[in-house]
Amino acid sequence: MKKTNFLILLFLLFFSIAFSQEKVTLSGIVKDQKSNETLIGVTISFQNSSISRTSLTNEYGFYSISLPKGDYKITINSLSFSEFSETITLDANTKKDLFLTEKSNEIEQVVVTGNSKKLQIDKPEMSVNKLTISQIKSMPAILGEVDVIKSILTLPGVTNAGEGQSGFNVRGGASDQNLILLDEATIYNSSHLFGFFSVFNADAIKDLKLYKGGIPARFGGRVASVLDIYQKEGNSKKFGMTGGIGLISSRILAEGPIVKDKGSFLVAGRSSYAHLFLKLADNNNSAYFYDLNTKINYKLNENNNLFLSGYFGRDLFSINEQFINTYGNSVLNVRWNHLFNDKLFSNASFIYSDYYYGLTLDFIGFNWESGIKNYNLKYDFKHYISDSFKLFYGANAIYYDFNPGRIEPIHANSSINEKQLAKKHAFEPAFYIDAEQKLTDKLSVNYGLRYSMFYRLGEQNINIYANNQPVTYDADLDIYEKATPIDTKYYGKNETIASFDNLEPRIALAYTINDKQSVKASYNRMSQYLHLISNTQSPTPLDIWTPSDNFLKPQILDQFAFGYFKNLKNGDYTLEVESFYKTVQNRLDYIDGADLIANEAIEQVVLAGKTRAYGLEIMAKKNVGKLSGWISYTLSRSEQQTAGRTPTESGINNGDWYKTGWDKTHNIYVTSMYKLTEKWSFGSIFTYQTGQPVTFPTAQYQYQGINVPVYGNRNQDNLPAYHRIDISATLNPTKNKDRNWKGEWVFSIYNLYARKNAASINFRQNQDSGLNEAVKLSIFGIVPSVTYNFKF
Amino acid sequence: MKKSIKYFILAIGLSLFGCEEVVDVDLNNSQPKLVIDATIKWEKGTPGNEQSIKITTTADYFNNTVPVATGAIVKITDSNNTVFNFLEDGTTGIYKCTNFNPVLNGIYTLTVAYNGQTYRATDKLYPVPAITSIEQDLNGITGNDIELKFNFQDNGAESNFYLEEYKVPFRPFPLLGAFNDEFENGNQMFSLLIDEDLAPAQNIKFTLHGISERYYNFMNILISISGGLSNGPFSTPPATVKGNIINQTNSTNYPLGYFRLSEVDVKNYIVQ
Repeated sequence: MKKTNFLILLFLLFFSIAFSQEKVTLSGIVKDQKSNETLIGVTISFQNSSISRTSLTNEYGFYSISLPKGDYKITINSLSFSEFSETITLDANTKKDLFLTEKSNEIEQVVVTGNSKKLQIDKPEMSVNKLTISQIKSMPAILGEVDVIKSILTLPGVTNAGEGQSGFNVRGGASDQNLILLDEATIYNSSHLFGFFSVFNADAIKDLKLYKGGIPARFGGRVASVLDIYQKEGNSKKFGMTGGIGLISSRILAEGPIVKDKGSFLVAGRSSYAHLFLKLADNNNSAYFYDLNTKINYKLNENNNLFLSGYFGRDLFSINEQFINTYGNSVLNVRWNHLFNDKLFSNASFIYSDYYYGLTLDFIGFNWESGIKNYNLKYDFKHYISDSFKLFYGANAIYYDFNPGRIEPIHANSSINEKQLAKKHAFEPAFYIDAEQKLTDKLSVNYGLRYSMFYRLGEQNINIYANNQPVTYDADLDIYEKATPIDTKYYGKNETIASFDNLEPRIALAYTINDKQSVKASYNRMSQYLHLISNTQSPTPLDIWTPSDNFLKPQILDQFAFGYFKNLKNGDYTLEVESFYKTVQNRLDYIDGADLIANEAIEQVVLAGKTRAYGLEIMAKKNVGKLSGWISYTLSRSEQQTAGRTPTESGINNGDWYKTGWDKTHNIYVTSMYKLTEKWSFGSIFTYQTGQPVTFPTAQYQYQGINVPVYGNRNQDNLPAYHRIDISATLNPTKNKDRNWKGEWVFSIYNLYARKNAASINFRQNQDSGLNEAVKLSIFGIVPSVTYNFKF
Repeated sequence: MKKSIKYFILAIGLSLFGCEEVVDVDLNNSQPKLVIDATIKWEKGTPGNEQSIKITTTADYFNNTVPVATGAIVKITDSNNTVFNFLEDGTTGIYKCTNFNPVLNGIYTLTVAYNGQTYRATDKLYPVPAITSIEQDLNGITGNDIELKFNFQDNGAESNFYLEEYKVPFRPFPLLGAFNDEFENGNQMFSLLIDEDLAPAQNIKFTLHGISERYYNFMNILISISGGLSNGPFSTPPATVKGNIINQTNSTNYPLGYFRLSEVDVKNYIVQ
């Protein structure tokens, strides 16, 4: 109860500061003139002889600022839109939507750095990277398939375990520690084809923002990062279609008004071709993926907007109808924006999302399915109290259903018995309050608190173990083994099996040294109540999510970050330098030989450990000119340790710290774009990374006729360094100008100098000679591709 | 079988564009360790009196042979304190016994004295059901490859663990797999062999072993690290495979290998 009182007190405190100033408020929405698409993260400047202020649009394009009465010049300086400038006389509260016109009316061509070119050096926001979809599209992509997830790997502090591996790792965190939101809905698996492609159809995406640290209190539930992705709303002025034909997939998107200027829709589909696996391509086999994105928005009146968005994606593999594998995400989301007044913006959301995995093995005779579903209610307020004080607060509540797995026989003579592994349920409510305050001209602060709770609910039978230890340790043999439950306890429907609560303080400070440079610092505590059960180097589609319970404790993060930010030549060049240190408690590790598939008692094969990561990130950008781009460099370390529970136990890996599978000492990306003429533009990416940490054998022995490698401590070796260059060229035929139909050709070459980068080195006996050998697997050699995009 | 299914599913992902080549890798070498391969197999229908135990040490990974451990004193004691001595065959590191007395579910203790250290392990002789029938068809996963199914009846009254072992003419080493009856308890179960190299007229020797849960765990780790999936994206971290033999003299200098006793059923099958 004490915590609740504290929250109320904090709340009152904010409000007493709030209404002490007398000003008028200017508010509205910033939109694209051509389509009415709202624009996120646009910086608006308000200036007169005595005052100079800025305001930033939120995720719905809304801005609000309180200013003393008077004449102001409003300017918006963005790279993708023509400069906007207008003078306004402010003598009462005013609503004003601002419309920007695109600089070029070709298919998104211009390279921009977020919607504002300059760094927001005075804003207490750090460890955040933004990419617009046009930036993502201008990067060369493998097989020409524009990839949202791969594009963020070019940012400092972001890596993945290796080529073709799923997910991404932020500041040494595991990929299941990233909260991936598509229109605020959680996406549980961001990859198609085991990680070769991402589930996001770039045509339907408007904007993305990656929070690596300094994460605002409105986000919770994951400890490494938040990747916040917004879908386009659709053109509410006129009907149009865009699409593309590539080597891997084809895409089509339709958008248009439902009621002109009031409502719009967007429907997009993408499907890969049916025989992606060239090696398996005969008539009985198929392997493909598809996605459907949809969004509808309707403006009820000045103060109310409704949004409906959805996503459905699947991967499908079928081999001779003997092996059928399907998996993917679905998301449905209804949101209601309501403006209480010109200073108080609110959004209510109801979000459903799920992840499904299904497998049929006809030759063994069973069906298998598993998954996770969640229902999320959210209500968020953004209160633009004054030009120096903003308050964000809200609540959300998520109910989860976990299906750890169900197996059933598919023919009468199948040897399989039907079994449903016990379903799990959980409820995760949270409240937050977050303030952004300008304390002095030089010092701004963002401080907030999130109070999160987690209830593991019945109905379920829970195992009881001797000494409450589901894992036993055999001191003589020095091995961990499953304990046998001594009893079970029944919990009824919605009865609490275990509960947790955490206070998560967040604070970020920005100190402006002068108008060009600033220093920032932040601290974050976050908690994660879900665990992805996976003991492979990189997560796989069949890994299941499981909630915290009486055996698995929530993961708790503490992160500190410091940064230096500089705008050079009025933002033509920018420099960002950050360093971070973070620790996570209760990170699961798996006992040797843990079998995680269809395991009904995960607690019997896991031990709680901890992780730590630290590093230095540098990002230098050139934002304007024919040649633009950025260099990002990360020096970092990511480690994990699982010590014994008592001094006599050895722990995992002898209780020593070991590098995680995605630790990369050096990670460099050089991303550049060059616009030669209206017709031709070019892009390139160069990357150099320390090879992935791996474990090589130190000896061998013979046992039962086979050669067995002897492995020492984990991840003490490295694969050879990974590097490659990708290039792309985009042709915009000049005849486009006067035509309705606008076409564009994108030519790209992945891995230009055809380096055979090692994805793995395996140690095994040669199948013919029986002698030991080391075999390097490299995935992509040089891959040329061509894609045609169109718009009408 | 579950593990191999997982690897199979994931291998599809990599077969997409992957390209393999043999490379030279400089490896760090570790101190030699003793390896005790004490596997007592009692084949159904035989007296089981002839048994052997092999003792070797580890070698550098790319060596073609491993050193043998000669001059050890090896014996097994049963629960009636009967001692079965295993005598070395020359200096081969192979220790043989001709008067072993196998008893289903009997408890046995192995003692090895070597280089001033004493090693000990205790285990039970696990029974195995008989192989009831063999099926051959082309219903395998690709529809073109030969598939062999060795059927047997699982005991529904308990949890059972099995080791499948195939000796095939197209591989210089046996194909091994460990599995259990978790989803098939009490049913007719089978061991499945699907390999594109299976061809008519080949002699396939299949052995089904009854094993303990601990040995099942041991073999699962051992098979996964020796099967060439030791550090791919979908591999689990390579582990030191610790067996059940304890060094009584210096427990930290533990030996590799395992002492286990299994009843086995063997079937030779000529591919049609």
